[in-house]
Amino acid sequence: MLDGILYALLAVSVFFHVLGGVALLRFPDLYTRLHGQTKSTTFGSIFTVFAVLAYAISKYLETGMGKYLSMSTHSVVALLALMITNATGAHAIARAARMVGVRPYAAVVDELEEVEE
Amino acid sequence: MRKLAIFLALIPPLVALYLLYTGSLSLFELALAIIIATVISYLFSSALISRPGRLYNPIRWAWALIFAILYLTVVEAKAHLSVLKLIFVPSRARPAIVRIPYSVESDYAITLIANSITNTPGTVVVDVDEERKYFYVHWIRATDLTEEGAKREVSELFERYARRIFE
Repeated sequence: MLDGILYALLAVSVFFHVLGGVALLRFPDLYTRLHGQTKSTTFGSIFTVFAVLAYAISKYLETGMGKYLSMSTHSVVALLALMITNATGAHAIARAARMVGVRPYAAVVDELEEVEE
Repeated sequence: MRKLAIFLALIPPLVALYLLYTGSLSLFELALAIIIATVISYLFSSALISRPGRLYNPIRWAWALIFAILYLTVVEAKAHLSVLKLIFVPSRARPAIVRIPYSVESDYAITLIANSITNTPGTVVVDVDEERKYFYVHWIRATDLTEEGAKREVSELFERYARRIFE
């Protein structure tokens, strides 16, 4: 039962990580690739952490050892750090790209352009 | 007096974080946690906190928890589905950089909104204009190009919660 849940969670996680890679190949320019890459990775990692949490909690209920509890807190803290740094990194890349003049591909409207000129 | 309150306010959460992370309650860890927390709080508290009362407001923490759960499940899943479709049919993309106004004051609230927008698939904050209070957001499938419409689609939910948590 537990194994089934864990494999399902990990499968979802791997699916989203792979999707991030596919997005990198399919999308045309830097900004759209940022969407595919950074976000799919976050969602994939969320499910990895869910799998770790499920494993740690069930092991804790089984054995009552404290190390499984700290295992779950570690993974939650890691998830929070990942979400903050992932978003901040995406900001930094997008802003740097815009400042050196990378234009969004096939954009319907670009409000930043009006500000610059 | 105010400075002292700010300095003291940061110590308990840091101690709690340290103990949670090490997962032990021995006297050695406790002493080390307090020493480290004091040093960190001395160095960074004036940059991190301006109103210590808010840190200890349980209602704000409850809203933060609700937002975290809502965000991790509903918002992310919904947005991922739409980007998933775009990965297989890239011609349906309609990229644009739109201007989205915001109306919060504190740095934490701005950061929360910007990070939430960026973490949501399909939208990335490219720049923030803090003087005129605009986000410039790259939106992969822009359905509404007006300021109000884009705000309703992208950031209204985040702004409502950011105001409840930080303002």
